[in-house]
Amino acid sequence: MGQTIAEKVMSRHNLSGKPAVAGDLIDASVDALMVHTFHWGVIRNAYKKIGFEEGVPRVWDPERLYLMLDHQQPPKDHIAADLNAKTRADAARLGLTRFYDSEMGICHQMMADYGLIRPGEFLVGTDSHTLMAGALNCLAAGIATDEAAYTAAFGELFFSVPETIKVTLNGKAREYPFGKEIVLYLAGKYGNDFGAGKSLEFHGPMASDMTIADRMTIADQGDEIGAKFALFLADDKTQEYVRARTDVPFEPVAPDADAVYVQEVVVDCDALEFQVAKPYRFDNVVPLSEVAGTVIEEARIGTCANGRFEDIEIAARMLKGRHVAPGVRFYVSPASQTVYKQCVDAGVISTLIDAGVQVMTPGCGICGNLMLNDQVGIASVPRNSHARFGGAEFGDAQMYLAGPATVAASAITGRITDPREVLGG
Amino acid sequence: MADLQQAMRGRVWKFGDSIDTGQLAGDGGKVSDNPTENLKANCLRSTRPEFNEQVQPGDIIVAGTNFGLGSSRSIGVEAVMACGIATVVVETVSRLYRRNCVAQGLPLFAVAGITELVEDGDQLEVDYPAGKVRNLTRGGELDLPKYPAVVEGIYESGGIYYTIAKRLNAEGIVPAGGWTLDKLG
Repeated sequence: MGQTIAEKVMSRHNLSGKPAVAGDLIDASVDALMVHTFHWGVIRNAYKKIGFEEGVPRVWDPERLYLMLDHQQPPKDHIAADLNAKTRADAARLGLTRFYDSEMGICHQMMADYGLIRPGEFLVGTDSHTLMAGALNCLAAGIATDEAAYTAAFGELFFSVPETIKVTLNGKAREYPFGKEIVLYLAGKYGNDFGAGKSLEFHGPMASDMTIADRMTIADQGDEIGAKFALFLADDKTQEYVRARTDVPFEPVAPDADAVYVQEVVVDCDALEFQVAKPYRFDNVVPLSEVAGTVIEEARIGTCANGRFEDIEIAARMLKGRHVAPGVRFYVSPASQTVYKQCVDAGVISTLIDAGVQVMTPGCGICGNLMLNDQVGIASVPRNSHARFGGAEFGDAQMYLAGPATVAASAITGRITDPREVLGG
Repeated sequence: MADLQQAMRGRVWKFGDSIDTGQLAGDGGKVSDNPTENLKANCLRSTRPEFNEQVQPGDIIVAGTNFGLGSSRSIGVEAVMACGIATVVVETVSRLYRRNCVAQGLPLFAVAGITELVEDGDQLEVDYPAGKVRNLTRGGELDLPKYPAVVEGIYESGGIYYTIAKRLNAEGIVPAGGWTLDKLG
């Protein structure tokens, strides 16, 4: 019987040596474990509770545990600074070769930048958006932090082998990022539990025509539609991207022609309008026209969902010769130092600053907080749920989610705006 | 520590669909220097402000679909445990919340139809040995799924810390001062 991408990669890692079939519960080895910041603190404490005063006693493979200070870089308080210092000491003691110290950025993007995301590998991590690596044909999923304590020592864990939904994206790429619109459309149509722990495979002409950045947006936000994995094929574009970043060999995985899918969905991307998720759910999606004109005072582009060069370049293209509307705070935060430099080298940052954008250092900072409960904003970030943004009481600032072209257009006018009003056409 | 061999009985706190980890362990503002008190004070605060004040040890959360979606936070489980919740019964659960529950030893069950079986304030019995969940207030019961062996093993040992300790112990890796867990049996 034919296999999906998930079944193929999980078969390679099944400790029993048997083929992995959807519905199985298997003990599997992993190729790599990513742990970021305070999650390392949880793991340290796990081992202290067991009895290891110094923390983690050993790791299964010092070259395959990717440890990143990311979320707390620079540290926001003395507690974070203390944990960073302990993490640094642990990395030295354990001989970790992939420790990323005081570098601002988001773990998922940094793994991509440094060639740690490779087609055909099985990667797990302490962050829910670990599945972003699926954009590069890497089978990747978040795991519980305490489980990561187990995996750190043994390089193994139990997994269910998921069923797969085949999503065929028809149409062709546009002159601006459009991945957010596609995944918002899926959320609006099928709900935030569309994936329901399953693996999503993205196929079709639009999937291959779109940029790696758009694939990363869709794979990343697979978490917001409930997916365990969100996978693209490793085409020429993928292999070129990865080979430019690492010499480590890899083996792309494609599904068999007779692979079994639990559901098949086809999206005509050329017919899609711009999509917006209203507060407070990712699947509270409407076509942009339904909320056009809503007054906003904050706009944001960045995060693991939309912090790539392409997501930021479109803002600069739209703001060239224009200015952020009076009374609007427009924050842009590249996803990593590598992306930041790419933006600087291309002149994008200079354009943004001239236009009144507040360019922030790379990192996760704009993914929450910073707003008051009665404020309204629009953002290319992953989530807009209750308690995500807002003040000390209930965190209920009203955040609309949209693609970067819509966010930039809205920042220019001060109200939710169709990007075509700015781009023309 | 979860004892699956005993039936759990408690008052139901009923919630809707898509309760995410932000609501469970929200950034609701600090109220205490005690981390456990803080977690309790902010648990589900934006969703139901009186919950954290009135919840009693042994109470049960019942909720709708996609419970625990959002950011993977172990504190999303810790917050529920800080409230003294004995078990969580939902229509469906997000995969990462389920994993966090197993690792931390909070029994969670996905039972289709549970939100129709119980109303807020009902007394519910979650009887794992018998494989039943029963509404003691209104009558009616549903089947409770059995955990896979590996998951049951983690629950019965008290969470994944014990699983780690046992395996390290078997490999001869022992803390200099000995194990500090209650048991390694």
